[in-house]
Amino acid sequence: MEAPVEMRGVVKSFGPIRAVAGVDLAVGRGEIYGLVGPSGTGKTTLIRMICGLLKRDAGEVRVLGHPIPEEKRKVEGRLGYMPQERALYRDLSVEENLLFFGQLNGMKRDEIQKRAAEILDFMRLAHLKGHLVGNLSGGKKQRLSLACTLLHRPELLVLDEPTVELDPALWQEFWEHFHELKARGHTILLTTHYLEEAGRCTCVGFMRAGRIQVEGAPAELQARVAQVQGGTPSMEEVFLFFARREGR
Amino acid sequence: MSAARVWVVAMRVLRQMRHDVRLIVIMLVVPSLAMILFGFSFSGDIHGVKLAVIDEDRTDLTSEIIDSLKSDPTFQVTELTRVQDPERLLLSGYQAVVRFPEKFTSLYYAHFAMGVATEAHETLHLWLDESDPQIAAALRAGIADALMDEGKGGPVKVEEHPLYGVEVRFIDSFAPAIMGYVVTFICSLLTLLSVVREKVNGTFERLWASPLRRGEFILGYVIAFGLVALVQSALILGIGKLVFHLVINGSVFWTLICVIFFAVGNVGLGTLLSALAQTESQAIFMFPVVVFPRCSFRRCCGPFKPFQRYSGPWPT
Ligand SMILES: Nc1ncnc2c1ncn2[C@@H]1O[C@H](COP(=O)(O)OP(=O)(O)OP(=O)(O)O)[C@@H](O)[C@H]1O
Ligand SMILES: [Mg+2]
Repeated sequence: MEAPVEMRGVVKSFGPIRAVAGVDLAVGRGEIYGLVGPSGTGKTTLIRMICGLLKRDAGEVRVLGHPIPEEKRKVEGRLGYMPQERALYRDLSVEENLLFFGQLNGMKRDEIQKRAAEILDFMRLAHLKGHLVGNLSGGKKQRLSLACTLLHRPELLVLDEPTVELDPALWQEFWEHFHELKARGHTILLTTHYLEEAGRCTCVGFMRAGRIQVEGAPAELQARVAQVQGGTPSMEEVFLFFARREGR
Repeated sequence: MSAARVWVVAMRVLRQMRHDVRLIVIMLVVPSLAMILFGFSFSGDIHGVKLAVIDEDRTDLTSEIIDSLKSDPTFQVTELTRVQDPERLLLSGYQAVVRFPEKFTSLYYAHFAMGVATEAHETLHLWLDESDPQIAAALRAGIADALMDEGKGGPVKVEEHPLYGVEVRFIDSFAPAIMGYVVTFICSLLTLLSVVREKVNGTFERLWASPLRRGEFILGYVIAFGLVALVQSALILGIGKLVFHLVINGSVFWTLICVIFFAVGNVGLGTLLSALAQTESQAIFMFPVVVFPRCSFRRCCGPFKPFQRYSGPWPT
């Protein structure tokens, strides 16, 4: 079976800015792939190309076996995208947001209600069902945004910084949930600034200036660094190691 | 109050605009466009009002008056050879009908000879659609001029027959304009703002990563705002009828159908403009693009210049 996400030699520029400068990427089924890198390295741009929202300048993008954006239609509904902005209707209630996005993705009303109850419970938002989204706190909007993405049980989840505003307890639960989803065969591609988060992915790609510098399972990367430096390096040390090596 | 801080705020606001090239373009283009449109709208007189003339008397006097009418650019005169029902003529496209009855000339000279002593008045009949006050006024003035041109100044009585058999008041001709404005505002401007807000909030991204098609998105907006426009138009008509005893001729049903089409067009315009605006302020500065053409180019909601006054796209 083909990998859910495959990219080869992908380039994307905005005027003079080369946001993505030649990326090869393969995310296998059931993987949690973490794109890590400083701000402005093209993570969001890469993700928007995967979702068919941007067209690459060069290279090849295949999602769930289809070239994107050419065959975007065949992928929609099987893909769940959580944008970096909250992307919710502030003048609708929590429930109404879920209903709308669920129906867009072809779910029936009672199916949505069942699923929404479940998901709101998990996100600790059940008591806020009828509240207007505009009045929610940042963290709660974030959770709702993820809930809207997970609602239709997409096989490929593309999450742009899903955990930025979470408190530690919820953060922990989110990661447990990601691993549950993975166990059920979902594929997750997420971006993050937190290096500790990288250690929880099954595969990490360090991005810098529009390229994926190094890629591999966290343990594998740690081992590579340990060979040179000795000891048991943290993900931060791993990141710094490769960043410095590239710098030379 | 610190002058320095006031200045700082003012400069910041201007600087914000400077970074938004699109906004600057919109701010420069829109007022120019508005001025040009208004200029075209108000320059020039009413001309080319389609006038049918039925001359039952056929004398030198009547043909002189008719020639005088013909030489007036206000009118585009058609002389009818056959006597026809004036109301039919109005409904078939003429804006006014003038009829010289038989004995018009003899009564005219009789009156002229006998002065005020006679009761028998020569009468000229004028049928017109009063619902457009500007055209009605131009008609009355033009006919009075033509009669004056005869120089003899005989007091011709002009008997008016309003098309709908009622006197049209200001509110009667203005109510459709109000309806037009409400539908315009709701449909174009709210669509424009809502779509731009979807862009700003990022919900657009989620929509296009879902199976939703652009056509479905626009049609959804059309239906929602079409319904709103329908309810509002019904309210305006209802209040107009019940409270202000508005004169309504023709079918309310078809009026509402037309409102739906008008709403659809306006939602379309709103979505079209939303493609050009990236931010809410850009959208707000586009409002005049939506509003000004209505002032000038539409008849039913063009209170400033009715459609019939245009002979072509350019001023004459
Ligand atoms: N629509 C756009 N127009 C112009 N430049 C853009 C656009 N989108 C992104 N860029 C530029 O492309 C580069 C990469 O941006 P991108 O948003 O992909 O970074 P990122 O890695 O997601 O950053 P962050 O971690 O802060 O979200 C940046 O320099 C950004 O300014
Ligand atoms: Mg980003």
